Amino acid sequence: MNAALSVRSIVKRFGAFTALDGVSLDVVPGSIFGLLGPNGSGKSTLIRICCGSLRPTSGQVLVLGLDATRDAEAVRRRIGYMSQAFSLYRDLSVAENLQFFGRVYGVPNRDARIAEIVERLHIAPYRDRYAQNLSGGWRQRLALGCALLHRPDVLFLDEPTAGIDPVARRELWNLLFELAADGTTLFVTTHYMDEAERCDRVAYVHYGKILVDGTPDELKARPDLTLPNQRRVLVRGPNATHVLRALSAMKDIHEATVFGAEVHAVVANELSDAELVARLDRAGLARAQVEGAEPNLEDVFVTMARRNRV
Amino acid sequence: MFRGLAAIFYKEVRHVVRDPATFVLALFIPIVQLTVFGYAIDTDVRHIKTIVLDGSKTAQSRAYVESLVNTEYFEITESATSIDDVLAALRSGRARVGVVIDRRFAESPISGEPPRVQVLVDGSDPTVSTRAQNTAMLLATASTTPSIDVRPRTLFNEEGRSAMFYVPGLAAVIFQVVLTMLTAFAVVKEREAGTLEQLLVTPVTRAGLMAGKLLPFLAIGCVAAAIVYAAMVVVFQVPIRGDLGTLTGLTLLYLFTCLALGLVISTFARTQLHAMLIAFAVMLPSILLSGFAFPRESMPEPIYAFTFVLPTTYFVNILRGVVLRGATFTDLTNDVLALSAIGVTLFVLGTVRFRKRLD
Repeated sequence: MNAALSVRSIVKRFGAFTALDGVSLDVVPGSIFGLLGPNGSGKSTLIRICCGSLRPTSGQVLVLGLDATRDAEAVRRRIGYMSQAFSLYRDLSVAENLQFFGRVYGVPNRDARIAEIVERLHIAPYRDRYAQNLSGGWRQRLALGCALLHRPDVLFLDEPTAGIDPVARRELWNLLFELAADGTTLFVTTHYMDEAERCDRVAYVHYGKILVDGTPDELKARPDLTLPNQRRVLVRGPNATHVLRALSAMKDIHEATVFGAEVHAVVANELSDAELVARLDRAGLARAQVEGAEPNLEDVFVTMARRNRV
Repeated sequence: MFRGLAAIFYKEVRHVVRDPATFVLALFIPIVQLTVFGYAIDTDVRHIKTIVLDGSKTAQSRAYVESLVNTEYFEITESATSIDDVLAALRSGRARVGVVIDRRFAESPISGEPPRVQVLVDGSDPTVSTRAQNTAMLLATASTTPSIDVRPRTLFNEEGRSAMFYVPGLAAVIFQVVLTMLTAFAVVKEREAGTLEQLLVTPVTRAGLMAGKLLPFLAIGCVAAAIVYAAMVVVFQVPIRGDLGTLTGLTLLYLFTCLALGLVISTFARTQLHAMLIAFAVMLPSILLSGFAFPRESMPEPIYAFTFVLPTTYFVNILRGVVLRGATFTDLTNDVLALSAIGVTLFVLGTVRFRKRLD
């Protein structure tokens, strides 16, 4: 398999702490790979190893067929990296930051390329503004611009949309789709389920181990998500919070979570939809609707994480 | 008025407890330096390096030289065959005193004239020159028969002005303090601001990064040096007797060395506070042990040996050499070679120590 990125049995220890414990995954060229997992689960550590900024304790990362540790310099020329924390020069303007990275990478026709990036990211109005005076969304755009200047084949984005508003988030994702369409391989970490749904493939890392890895559809179709004596239902009521409270007090309910106006629940097989409606009615929640449901991505990750809780 | 003071106090104590390096640095540096300088600083000059031109080569002349050595103030490091040798040794700073014994030193008593000795004293360090003059004179009056006519003459700083001695040395020290501080923060600052993370994934090389950080400051240093030299000539009336080209070239070499030292500090420090404390730890000995204010000759042996690794030691001598004694590049070959070696070593060390990794 000719993967753009191939992570093979990576172990990373910091003293007595094991951040990554045998992580393996492959990313197809031109695809978007999403890595999810709680804070401190090793997502950033894995990206840093892929970029050659950290050395793995054992295992190997191949980026475009090159060893990320041994051939770090060759790898660096062909990848882009957007770190989780803003890591551009705050006391430089947008244009100065772009010029700096353009020079560091030795980008040919630098000024033309910068103009192209400025146009593509719509950051022209902010060209002369200091990076420290940009809002979160524009900072991320600038960081993406700096990471893209040298036309990298693989782009690593560590929580690119953390803390930015929904409009900026949507616009950033549109840019990512354009890049993938142009053949760039993207490796993205996120906490957002809707972003995970947009990825070609997702993996969930938990305490340094990959719990699940597949396309969103494959993961949701996993037969082991719901135990044989349980089933998933979707409950709609006048007030989701009240529904949740009522369900939590009932027998035969294994799990219940609010999703917007709905409550997703895992219930015992014996509990029929009609019986559940009747119970809710008795609890003072008339007119509740119950139907059978498929798990969504969050259900997948929550279920797998709970099952592997240490 | 003092609300929150206690809270801040406890918080700061916790910072120190959690960051033992700051704690150790803050405690150790003052103690170590106090101990070292308490011993090192001694204005009673002994073992002044002396070059002898013995024109007489007789038992009497050798006895005279012996008596100089016995005072412990003079240490014969060289013997010369011509007066040019003596002057060259003084210009290069290899010797502080030249003793020229007259050809007719041994025959003089018969001819009725007292034996003649000329003592040439390097006046660029008044502490040394005064001691040398006084001792030479004392020895002349103390020696019974035959009495010796000693004629001391102070070269280079005929009036014995202390500005001549202090100002060039002070310039050397100021360059070190300012420039080393400038680069000491270079790498740490990036680490603290988080920008190092992005810089590490770029193809920038270690030497490229180091030189890139050093050169802008070298330019600033040149401007500073020009201003300091101008002030030296105009305000302190210390004329530059040597060649301006030589002065410029050697100043650049020294500025480079100071900046490279700062870079090395920057690769050792994890925070800007560490960088500052390390820089101070390095600078104080440079100021006090370089011969800028206190003659190195009177320092205890291990500390005297230590002064040879300080770039300032060489530049203080170079600067006094070029400015006061009109020394040329050839006169100062040893100092220039030593300073170059230190500068290159520091730059290489800084580059090698910097890793393009976060761990």
